[in-house]
Amino acid sequence: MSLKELKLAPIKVEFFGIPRQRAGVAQLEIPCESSLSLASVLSQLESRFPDLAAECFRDGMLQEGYIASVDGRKFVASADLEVRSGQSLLIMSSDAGG
Amino acid sequence: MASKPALCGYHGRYLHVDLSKSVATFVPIPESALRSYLGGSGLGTYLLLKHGGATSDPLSAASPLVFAFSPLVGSPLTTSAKFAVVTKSPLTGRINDSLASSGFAIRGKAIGADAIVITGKAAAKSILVIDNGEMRLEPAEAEWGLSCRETESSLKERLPEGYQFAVIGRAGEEQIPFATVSHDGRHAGRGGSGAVLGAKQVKAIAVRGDAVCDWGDAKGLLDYAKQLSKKSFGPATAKYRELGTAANLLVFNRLKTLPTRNFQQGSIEGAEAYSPEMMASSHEKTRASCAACTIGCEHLYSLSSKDGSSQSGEVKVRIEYENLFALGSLCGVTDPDVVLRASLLCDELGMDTISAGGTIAFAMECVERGLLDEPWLKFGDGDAVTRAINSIVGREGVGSLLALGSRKMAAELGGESIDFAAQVKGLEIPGYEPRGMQAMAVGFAVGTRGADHNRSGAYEVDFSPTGNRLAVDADAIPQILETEDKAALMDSLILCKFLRGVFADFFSDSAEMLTLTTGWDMTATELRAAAQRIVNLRKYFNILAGWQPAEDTLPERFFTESPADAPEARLSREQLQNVVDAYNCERGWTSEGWLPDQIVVEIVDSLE
Repeated sequence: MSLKELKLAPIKVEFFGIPRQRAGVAQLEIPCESSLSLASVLSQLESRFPDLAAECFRDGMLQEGYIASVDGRKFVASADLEVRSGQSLLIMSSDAGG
Repeated sequence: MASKPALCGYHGRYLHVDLSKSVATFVPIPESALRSYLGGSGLGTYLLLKHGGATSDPLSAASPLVFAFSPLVGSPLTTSAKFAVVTKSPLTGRINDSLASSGFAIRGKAIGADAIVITGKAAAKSILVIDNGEMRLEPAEAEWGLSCRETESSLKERLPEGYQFAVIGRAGEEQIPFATVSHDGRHAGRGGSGAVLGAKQVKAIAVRGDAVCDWGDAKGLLDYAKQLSKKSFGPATAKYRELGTAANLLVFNRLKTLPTRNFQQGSIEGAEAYSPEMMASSHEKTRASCAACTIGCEHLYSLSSKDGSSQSGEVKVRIEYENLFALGSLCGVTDPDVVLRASLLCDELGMDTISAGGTIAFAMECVERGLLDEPWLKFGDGDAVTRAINSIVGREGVGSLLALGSRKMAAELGGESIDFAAQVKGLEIPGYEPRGMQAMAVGFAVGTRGADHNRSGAYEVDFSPTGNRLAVDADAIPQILETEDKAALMDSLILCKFLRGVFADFFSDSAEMLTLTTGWDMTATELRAAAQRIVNLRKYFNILAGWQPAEDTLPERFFTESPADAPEARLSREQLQNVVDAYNCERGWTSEGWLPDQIVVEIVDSLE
């Protein structure tokens, strides 16, 4: 993939568990030229998936009980988290009780 | 018989049933002990120690088995209908405190006791019937050999109304070391307490009574309970209400922390096919809940698919994440009908799904490596899974090895097989890949039951912004300890862990609940100390039972390999040992994990 193509690769948002139930989709792509903050991604999701926002977001961020991860490595909750073009943002319950 | 002391929330006594003499006696429990160990896991371990449980052979007549209730049982608090079954495990030789739920807890406490301690051995196969503290043994010939469900049905027909039952299936009768004690389709699952009961020739315990406890503040308790119930319908429990624990499957698969093919991989292709999301569309599904529970986490699926393509029948199977992992990906299987059939089989036989699946998956890898000559026992073969489960109870062919559990099976096979027997202290590892959830790896290593995701909630650390699931270090220890202490408290109060997300400050909230039930002036500080005391008590039990520091680790595979599809998930022996050493010190123990004299003296004094 060329550098230009990489920069234009969308962010893939993946939903799991209750976020998936509320969004009604398992994943989607968000256009991204370079990077987006977590807050920006959530803002776009809020307008597309009001049920998701009602259950899982509060004041523009993930509400307690939900968490995000970039590419499945670390878990994060900061609004400033940068998600780069081509990366995946996973949104799930922070409760992994089994 | 000892009369009841004036306590709230408690009866202040336990019922000692001596099966050999066919005698039951109420024995007082000092209020100091109740305040120190609360109920459930704490009280059960205390009583087990008092009856010499740490040094007895778990399957001997002398070995005690404790059913422990709690001050919250019988209260209006949601999820409070729970009981602990506490034994020395025949699988691990260490403390085994397992929990189950529903009516048996309420009816058991109503006999007028905070616990039932069973010692001795019945002269013949028996049903132990306890009626308000009076016991009798009835013949169990009609029930012996029946499934757990059939046993309860049979007893409901032949005993008078009003009893609740704790039963064993054929696995318990055959003293399989991972046999469960079951009540109303739920299981005190891990560690083999069903085998202990089977060794006593007790097929079932029937309890009935009309004793009630006073509450410290009945109106305050009711008001609190109403608020708690309201919160239990909120977002903190949505996962459990809508999908159940099975919601973990696709998350873990994506994170490559879904143990697959005996921990050779962290994900399996085709996981979607048997996810709860998919199964809800392909199978009839209903929800159920335990008595006194407002969450309703139980998700039951029809055995037959909606298109009728598999076996017919109206049987519904409870599915949890651990079934999907242990009888699914761990054995290389993604067929939902296989997992449903295998889960039902384990339920009917009264067998721990995690240990069954873990041992079968271990055997599959042994076949792959040429260490075992059973070519039918292949990863991905659903018929092999059910055939293997059936072979365990009869100890037929390879079943005689499978019935040992993976650790002892590895000892029989020899060679390097012990390196990939995925267990700690003999208890098979649950569905949390330790190399990809490294705080949980610590929790598994130090767990007093063995590899256990219920006595340690360290996966919370892995799933938090402050943790780093791929690089655990000593910074994670305070949080790891916190999850263990919270679990010890929840398991002793007893409250369901699925409720934990509704509490702003669990120790403070628990103090309030206990004050309302008991009338004691409880504080969060006192309960933090109680939680640590209970963890210490379980450790003390293990030390008496022969624990050595070398047990607090993981099998060799977890240090020498990454999952094949997750090369970034690496854990070194030195890394884990450093964190374990630091954990021990943070607990106030020696760095090796021994209890200092001061703690031992406190425990011994409490047992006087």
